[in-house]
Amino acid sequence: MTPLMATRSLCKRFSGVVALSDFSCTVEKREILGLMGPNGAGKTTLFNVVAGLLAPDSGSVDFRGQGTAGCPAHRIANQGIARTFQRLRLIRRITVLDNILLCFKNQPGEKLLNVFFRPRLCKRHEAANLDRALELLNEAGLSEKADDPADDLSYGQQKLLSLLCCLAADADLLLLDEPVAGIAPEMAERVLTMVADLPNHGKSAIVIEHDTDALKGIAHRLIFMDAGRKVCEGTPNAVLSDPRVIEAYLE
Amino acid sequence: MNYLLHVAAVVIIYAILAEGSNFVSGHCGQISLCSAAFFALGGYSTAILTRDLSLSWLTALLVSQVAVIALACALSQALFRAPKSQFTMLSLLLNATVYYALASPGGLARGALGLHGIPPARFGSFAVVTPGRQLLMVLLLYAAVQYVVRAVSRAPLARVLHAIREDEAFASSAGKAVIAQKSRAFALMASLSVLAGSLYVPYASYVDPSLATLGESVLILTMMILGGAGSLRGPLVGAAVLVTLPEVLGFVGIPTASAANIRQILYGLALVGCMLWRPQGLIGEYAFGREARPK
Repeated sequence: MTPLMATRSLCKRFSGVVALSDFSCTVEKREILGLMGPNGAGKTTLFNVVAGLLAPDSGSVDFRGQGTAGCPAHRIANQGIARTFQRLRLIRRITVLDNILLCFKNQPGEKLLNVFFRPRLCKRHEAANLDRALELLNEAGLSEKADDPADDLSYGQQKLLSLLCCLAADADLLLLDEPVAGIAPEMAERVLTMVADLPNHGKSAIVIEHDTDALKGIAHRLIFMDAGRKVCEGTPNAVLSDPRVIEAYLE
Repeated sequence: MNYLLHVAAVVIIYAILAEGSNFVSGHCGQISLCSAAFFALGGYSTAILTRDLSLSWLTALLVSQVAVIALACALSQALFRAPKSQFTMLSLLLNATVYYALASPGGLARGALGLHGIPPARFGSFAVVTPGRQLLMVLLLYAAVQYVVRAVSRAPLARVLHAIREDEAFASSAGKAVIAQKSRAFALMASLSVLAGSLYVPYASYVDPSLATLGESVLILTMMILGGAGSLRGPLVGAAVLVTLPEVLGFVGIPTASAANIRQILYGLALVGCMLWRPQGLIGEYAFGREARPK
């Protein structure tokens, strides 16, 4: 069976600095893959390449068995890959609710001709999206913040919101860049519960995180990378007890 | 009385231009300096189609719209593929190209001489000749423009344009086709500017290349920013202030020769004041240059 997503021998350099070097990995359907490694190991670069924001120097990315080379980022997103950013990116001056509404796919009301010639269709979609967005906010416990600008949320709430945006996009593969780093424990707990629940909805995720306990709780498999290379891969327990990993984290 | 009707009609024509500019410079946040080029193209094409080819005003409007929207769509592929920071300069280049094409001697546009004797718009036996009728026509079309502007501002489309203005990488990660959406805004701007040109030319009964100067584009952009970028009534407010300003100066008794200079000084002061105290414009909410930064 073909994996949901596979990268093959990805290489990427930034003016001499190696960010990815012969990096191959796969993600199966309903799998959560943890990705760890020291700063500058190439984790975020991998996300940028998979999401189509960066073109690799060599190697390829397959999503559902199809190569994504040369595809612009928005098209890859529409095929079912959603991501969060480490330095959070949200549209800060619009409301929490609008941030989520923005992320729904295939909205007829985004096309000029539909706005004028198929207003009913646009209204129907918008109403359905609004229901779903409120439901997501409710589940995440953010309903009372719906009409506040995204900028007014706490850091943890913003991380939660960016996860909700990925859920609104209904993506099959979520790329989560440090979803719980630097946020309050109870908020981290909420985020982790939602991530752990993804496979039950047929979704997969790659999670970059330094918090080994958090990863152990949610990941089915871990990859440890350093200097753009895969150092080791396996079950969370196996990887976390690998001497190379212990050494890197003790340093 | 006729004079007031005239000023009102000019205010509204400029308000339509500022509404157009609002789509690209306001909602998308891409400062555009080529509104005047499309204003002039609309004016010249209406002039040639109604005067030389004896088409009705409405037919001329439709032909101009189709031609210019097609042109805008083709151009926007080039304009928006370049890095975001280069867009303003490219739009400036476009404006200058259109100006010099119109101002060069000979050809259909007759160079600096311009085209004279453009017939007034006619709808059956109803000729739009008196100032009252002209204002009525301008007002009716402005109502249609307001309908379009409101429909777009309330549609999910506006949300996408705002997202693109704030963070292009986020927008494309959320699956939004940045170039295609900017092209839509650009086509709307071109369409509204052409409409303004089609209204202005039969009203003035002549057209010359001064319609396409950079000064005009800057004036239109200033109206939009002064009124309030991204807001619904901002363009009308901005147009009203900047069109009536020289008229008011005339009333105060300042001689015409120095009025032009004083006007420039006041524009400058208004813009600087706006940037300092009200970056969101007189009634707008979006502040240029005051982007929210991550905490």
